[in-house]
Amino acid sequence: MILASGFFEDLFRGVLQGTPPGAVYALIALGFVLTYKTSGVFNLAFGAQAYISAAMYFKVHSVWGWPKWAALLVSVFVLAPLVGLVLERAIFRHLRTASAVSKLVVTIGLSVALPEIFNWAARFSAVAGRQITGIVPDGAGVYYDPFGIYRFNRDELAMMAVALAGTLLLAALFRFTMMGLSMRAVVESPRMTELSGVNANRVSAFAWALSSTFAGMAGVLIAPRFNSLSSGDYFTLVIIAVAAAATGLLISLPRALLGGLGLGWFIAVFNTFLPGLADDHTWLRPFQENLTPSLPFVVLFAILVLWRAVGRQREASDPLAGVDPPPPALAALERHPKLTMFTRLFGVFFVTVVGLVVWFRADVLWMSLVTKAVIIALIYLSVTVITGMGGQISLCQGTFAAIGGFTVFQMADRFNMSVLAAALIGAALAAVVGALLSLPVLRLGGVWLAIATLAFAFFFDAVMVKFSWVGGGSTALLTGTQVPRPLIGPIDFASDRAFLVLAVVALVVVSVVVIQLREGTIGRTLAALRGSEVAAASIGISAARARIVAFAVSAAIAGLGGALLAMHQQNVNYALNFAPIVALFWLVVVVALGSRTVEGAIQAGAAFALFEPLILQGELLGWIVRGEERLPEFFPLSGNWRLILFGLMAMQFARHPEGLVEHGKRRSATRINGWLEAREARA
Amino acid sequence: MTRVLEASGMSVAFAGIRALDNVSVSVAAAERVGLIGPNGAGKTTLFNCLLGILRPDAGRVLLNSVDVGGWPAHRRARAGMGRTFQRVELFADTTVREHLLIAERIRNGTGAFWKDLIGRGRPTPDEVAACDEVLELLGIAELAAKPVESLSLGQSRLVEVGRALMTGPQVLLLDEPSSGLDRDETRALATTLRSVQDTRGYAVLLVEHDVSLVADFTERTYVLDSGVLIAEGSTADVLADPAVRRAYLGSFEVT
Amino acid sequence: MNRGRRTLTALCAIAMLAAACGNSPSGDGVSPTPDPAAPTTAAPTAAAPDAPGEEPAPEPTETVEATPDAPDEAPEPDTTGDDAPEAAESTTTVAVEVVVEEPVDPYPERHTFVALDGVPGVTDDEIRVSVVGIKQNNPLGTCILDCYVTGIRSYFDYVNDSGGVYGRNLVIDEILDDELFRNQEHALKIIADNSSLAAFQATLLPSGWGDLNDAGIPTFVWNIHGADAVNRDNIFGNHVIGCPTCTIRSFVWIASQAGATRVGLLGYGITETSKVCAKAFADSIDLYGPALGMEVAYFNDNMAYGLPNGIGPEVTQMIDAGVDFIATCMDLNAMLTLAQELERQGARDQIRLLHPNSYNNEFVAAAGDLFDGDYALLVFAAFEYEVDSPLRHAYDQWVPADGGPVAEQTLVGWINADLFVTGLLEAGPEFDRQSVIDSLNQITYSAGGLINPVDWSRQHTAVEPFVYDYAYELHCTSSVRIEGGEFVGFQPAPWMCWPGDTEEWSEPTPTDFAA
Repeated sequence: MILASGFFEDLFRGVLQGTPPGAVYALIALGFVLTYKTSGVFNLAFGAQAYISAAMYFKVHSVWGWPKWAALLVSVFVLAPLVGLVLERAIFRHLRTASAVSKLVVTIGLSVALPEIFNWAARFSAVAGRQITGIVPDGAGVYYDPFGIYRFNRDELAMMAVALAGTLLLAALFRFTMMGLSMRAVVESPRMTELSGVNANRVSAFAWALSSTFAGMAGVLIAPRFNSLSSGDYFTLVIIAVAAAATGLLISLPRALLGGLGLGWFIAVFNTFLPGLADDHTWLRPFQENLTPSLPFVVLFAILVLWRAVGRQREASDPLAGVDPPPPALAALERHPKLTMFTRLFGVFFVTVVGLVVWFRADVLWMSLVTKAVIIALIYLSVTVITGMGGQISLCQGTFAAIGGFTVFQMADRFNMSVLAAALIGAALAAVVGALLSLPVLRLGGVWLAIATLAFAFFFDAVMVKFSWVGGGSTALLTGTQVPRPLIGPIDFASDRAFLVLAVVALVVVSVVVIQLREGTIGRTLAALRGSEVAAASIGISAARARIVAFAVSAAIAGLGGALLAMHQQNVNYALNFAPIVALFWLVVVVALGSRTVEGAIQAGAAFALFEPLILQGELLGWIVRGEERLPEFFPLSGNWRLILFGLMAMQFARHPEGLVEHGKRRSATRINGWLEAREARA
Repeated sequence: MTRVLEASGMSVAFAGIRALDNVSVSVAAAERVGLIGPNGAGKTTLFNCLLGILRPDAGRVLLNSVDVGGWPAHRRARAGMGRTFQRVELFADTTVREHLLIAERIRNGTGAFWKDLIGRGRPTPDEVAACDEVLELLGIAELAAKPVESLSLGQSRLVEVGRALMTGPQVLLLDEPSSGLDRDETRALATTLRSVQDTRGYAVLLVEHDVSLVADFTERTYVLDSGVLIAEGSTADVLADPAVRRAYLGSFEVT
Repeated sequence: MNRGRRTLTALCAIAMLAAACGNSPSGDGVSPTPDPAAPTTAAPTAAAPDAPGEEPAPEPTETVEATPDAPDEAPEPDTTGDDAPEAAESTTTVAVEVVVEEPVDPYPERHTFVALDGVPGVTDDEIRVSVVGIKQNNPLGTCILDCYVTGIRSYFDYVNDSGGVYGRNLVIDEILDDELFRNQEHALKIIADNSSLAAFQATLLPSGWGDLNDAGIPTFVWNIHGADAVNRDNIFGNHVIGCPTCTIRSFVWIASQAGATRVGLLGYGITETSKVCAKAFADSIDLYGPALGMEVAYFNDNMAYGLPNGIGPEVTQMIDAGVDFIATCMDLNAMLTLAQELERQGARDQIRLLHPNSYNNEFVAAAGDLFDGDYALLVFAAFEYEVDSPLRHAYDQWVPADGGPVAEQTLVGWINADLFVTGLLEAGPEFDRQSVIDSLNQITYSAGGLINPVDWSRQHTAVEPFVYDYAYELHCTSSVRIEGGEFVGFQPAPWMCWPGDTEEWSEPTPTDFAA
């Protein structure tokens, strides 16, 4: 039958066409698994490491004109291991016993900071519209046709060969060499390993150098496929490759290889057959149209949610971790009453002074910046609820906020509804979405939950936003996603001052609600769950119910904040405010500064919106030295310093998981407590 | 005598290896029952099956004659199954009293979400009084406001007991409460446990490695070895049983 | 945040496509707006005493290759401020006849000084403007802010060289890099500083345009964001996007020039803009194709952004469908991937491509002969066509002299700056922000034939479906072919136009708005 032979030919060609991209996913997935096996780190910065080597290779070969072998040597075999060693020595050595989630946060920070540091140090910027030259001579120009139905070029063959060889070599390393065994042992328990006479530091340094070299190799091999060189491409690849790595539960190299290839094959075969099928069967069309651009994220989400083995896998925990001293309690618990009173007074004083200055002196720019800080702080309270109180990492808070923003836009655009009412509807909608999302992902803990929410954020980004009932469709195309400011009776919030007041009121109300929740049943329930899930169950607490509530509340707060932000900017500005990556940034800022307290969220909001104009632009220093002209030459600093500082902040988080604000409070509380007690003792 | 907890025909296999083979245990109201056995005998497996943390391959668990076999752990807890942990499981960053308060709130089921929203979710005076009463009973009233991180192991175990008591258990399952404690501490713990049990009148199932505590505290004892129940009866009889002594390699003496 | 680049790239690239895909430029054939600098003999009536030898001085070293004559010209101190442009014209390397005839200056008051009080950005010596654009974090990796600023600055040099406007020099007050995501912040800074008369914007995420518009600041923009400029009377683009969903005759015509019979269309699934663009192409072929022997043979608007999974299956399907012409609504990286895949599957020679966004010399040169025979669609008169207007000649001289490339981004800055100065001249010597805006909103502007004339009295509005009242008078295109890694003109005139008041098919009329 002709149809059948055509079918098999199409299928085979689809598989062949899916092989090069599949090899890309496989390479990244292998590196990802390699890092996880050898360091226990869920390394979202893997793409950043790959990018650095690819960019270095490009710089050395295409810009400086060095020969390929020299470029390869410099970028992959010198720079890459060096980066690995530095990361190990400066950061991950100190994190061996940290929780998987805090390591994840660190790698998110690194994924932003590493490319920036490299671009700054090497004076490099994104390259677009250029065929990147691979390591193979004439790699893009010479084709081979092994089966007479689809041709591969040399670059692609090199990539496939390295993926295959890498799998075999690494598998052999783990199985047959002492070093391979030691690396795995160090992940399980560095102290135990040390007791048996292995130098854990040296092993871990080797592991990082190895995985970083692999990252560099992958980066250089992959670069020719993209016709552009930007760190963003590599980051997205990592997210996709997590799906492949997950099929091997992050520890099986052969499965990561197969998972990567399988993903490439699946997508290519999907794209080979579905359009034709959808023409014949109209009911398939919505699937074809909506799944195609987001297939990798849908696959990732499906693997995490449907494959039961993923959630069950226990995170590596050091059997000797119990000998660590327990973390100190929240500062507020131990503070001297006088100190508490003093800080409260100072807080009131500070807020009043800032408020007065803003009210009387701020121009339109600073009014807007402060309003934004207030609204972002409100959104950050959603992180306080889900992460600070609930102990879960959600990477889709931006999506919840976007739901709020889009709801206001839709309600105002279609029904001319009051935007404040629409904001409440938006918050409610976000809550419903949050609750529904939490159902399938609840089973997952820690890192997996974080990745599932990230997949959801990318899915929303790729699929939902383009629907006219979400992103506005042709209305948005014609006039954007405009949102009016609210109007209550005689008060028109079109005035920036009035709107700032509204934002502050909203922040205060939500802060009070969050504090009430924390002190109330749900907050104490979540605290119990965070402390010990089994113990919480032993007193009758249903983890599922509590977490659904936490997700819903958190989503509602984010939705409300998103709605306010849209009103403030009078536009949803989805790409600017709510894209998945923005939400990653949010999370790191909040947890690094302090996700446990309301002050932490407010300070994080202020840092997010005001740090750059105030500090980097030299505004504050200019005010101190009375006059911008007296500022040192290097002001204003580039905004990219913010990204670098952001990375450093994430690294700090690992050492002070309670948050920098809380850490500072504890330190000063200890000192001042001591001082006060000493004085009382004397008296 | 009514059976508060009754498990029958419990069997569990891990990767083909039998961890429990047709084990049946029961605890009557206000009874103190021990469960002993050497390491790897299946004590923890049985314990987890009773509590709903592990699903047995076969067997039934009745709590007050209700089949709770399909219930998750938290539902069994609400129905009257309290427990403590071998490796102390406390809620970080909270005080001793807060551990009891949240248990009290959950037991009463008065923690509606809307109450939190309007600020009515904080502990009520009644709840605080109920908690303090239990702390008093356990003799740790002075620790009420301490963060749990500052407690000794023995104190932590008492907090766990207190927390479990707040759920109003009909049967309390104690998981190796003596582990990590020295002899004196163990003895003090036993005294406290007994006096509290006398006052409150719940049943106890004590899983222990340390035979002296079992001997001190329980009336009846089951002995597990390699997933099989090898003895049951009054504690004194069981501990005198040569088979039991063999299982323990004769490593203990009855006092 | 920076990591948002990928998504943002998608939106930006696609925004740029919208510019090419939308109801693209057309004009009214006349060039009603006089070039401010064309006739320069009118003596300053009032003391522009200084015309202050403020060196317009382009760096000689950088310009030697581009315009050998310019260095001689530029440093020449100009005390009268009168005759420099004339001289400049006569010495341009572009071979054009020297304008001998002296037309009447439509702006006789161009050098009239009137002291103005309280007009932001205006002093007795200077008229200051601010520029916001993207440089750092530019996901496209192209020269945007710097080139745009070069375009504006060279235009200002050119005007200042002949005495400025109303006895004042044009000066760039602030240049702000919006780093992709700080556009609104910088817009607010301009509003708060209140030290510039007008704002210029070349950005990828125009979150501050609404604020500038609401603040009543005349704002001149690189208009790749139709939705953010629409219905805002104070925002003036280098062109306008009329009706994104309407059919496009120019596209069909280019396809017919390429000998297309079976057309394939590709769009990204990630945004509405790209989908709508692909749909408009398909509608156009459906409407006009039958008469020209063309049909849609393949349509896919669900491509994944950045083509991470390649484009193998889609190309196979297009080849199977007998496609001989592919138009896309995708960015230039994707065009390269597409061309390579066609090459791999052995079909590059049979299938021509239409590039919406690849008018970039370096890009096509780097690709060697890969794009030969393809077409590119533009919204301004391609550099490959001769446009005999003083504005173009001045551009050809002053931009290279200022070290800028002859490329889209400098031209946009140049055109924006010219529109601003036109507004000043129209407003008269007692100008302020509002009068500049009001006078621009009464005229039709063609940038001396470099763009299709925009009637600013009615084209701030975008609509769908098509309504002639808000559209270009003529529907035009300026497109080029790629041969030997270079762009070459193939049209008989810079523009090919259709009547704008009908959607009927007709053969296009070669048009030169500069004539």
